[in-house]
Amino acid sequence: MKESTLRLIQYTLGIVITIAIIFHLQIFTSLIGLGYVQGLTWEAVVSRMSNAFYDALYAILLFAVLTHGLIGIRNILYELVMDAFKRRVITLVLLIIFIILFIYGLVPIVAAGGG
Amino acid sequence: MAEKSKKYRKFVYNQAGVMGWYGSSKYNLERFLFLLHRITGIGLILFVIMHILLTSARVNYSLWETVHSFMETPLSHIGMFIVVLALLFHGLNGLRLIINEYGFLLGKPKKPVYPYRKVLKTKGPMSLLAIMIVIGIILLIGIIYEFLLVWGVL
Repeated sequence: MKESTLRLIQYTLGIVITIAIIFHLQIFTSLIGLGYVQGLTWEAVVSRMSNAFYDALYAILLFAVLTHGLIGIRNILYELVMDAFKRRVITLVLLIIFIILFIYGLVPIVAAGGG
Repeated sequence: MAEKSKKYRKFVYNQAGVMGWYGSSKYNLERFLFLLHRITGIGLILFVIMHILLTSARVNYSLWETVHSFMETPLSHIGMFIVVLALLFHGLNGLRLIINEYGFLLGKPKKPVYPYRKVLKTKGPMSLLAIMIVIGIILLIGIIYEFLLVWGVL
């Protein structure tokens, strides 16, 4: 993948995260949502888990944040490492980290979606 | 002389490592924002990893109660406050960068004649930065209000 394409993905996901995070954080705001304390109770968590909108939101947020964050880390590491082979290793390691964290984060969402 | 040349080469080939982010003689507002964007970005991805691991406990009531009791500690509240501040800065500065890098609000192009025009000294980018600061302050008030409620001050 070209670096310019990665940058475009990075920017697009930045906008996606901004929109998704507003929906995520409004729950923990007393002015428009449940508030921080109420939003973390088991009842509130179960209620969100059984809501298809929040399942979709968390899945999108999980993918977008991990991709955006790991591309950012890759950019920083690429600036510090010049060797082509080491750069390929960095990309591969970050890709493996992405897959592991994405699956780990997706399991509770899918489990919740299944009831 | 040789020592100076070695140091120069390090910067030219970007081999100064992380210290190269700080070690600039031309330290302006744009560079300060760049540095803060990177630091908050690294902090946020570390938080996200921890957040994914912790919130996965929500499939089980007793596991969630353990995580919840940890999230109710004052130390956790302070940590969350810092994370939200970092998120606010990273998000608003990121949007500013996206808008500017797509060429919006940059004004008319100018010939690269010395003394060069500093982007943040021009009207468009400066106005955008001011708008982001205003939005940031409004959201910051909301965040402080919420945490004062959590800490029982209000």
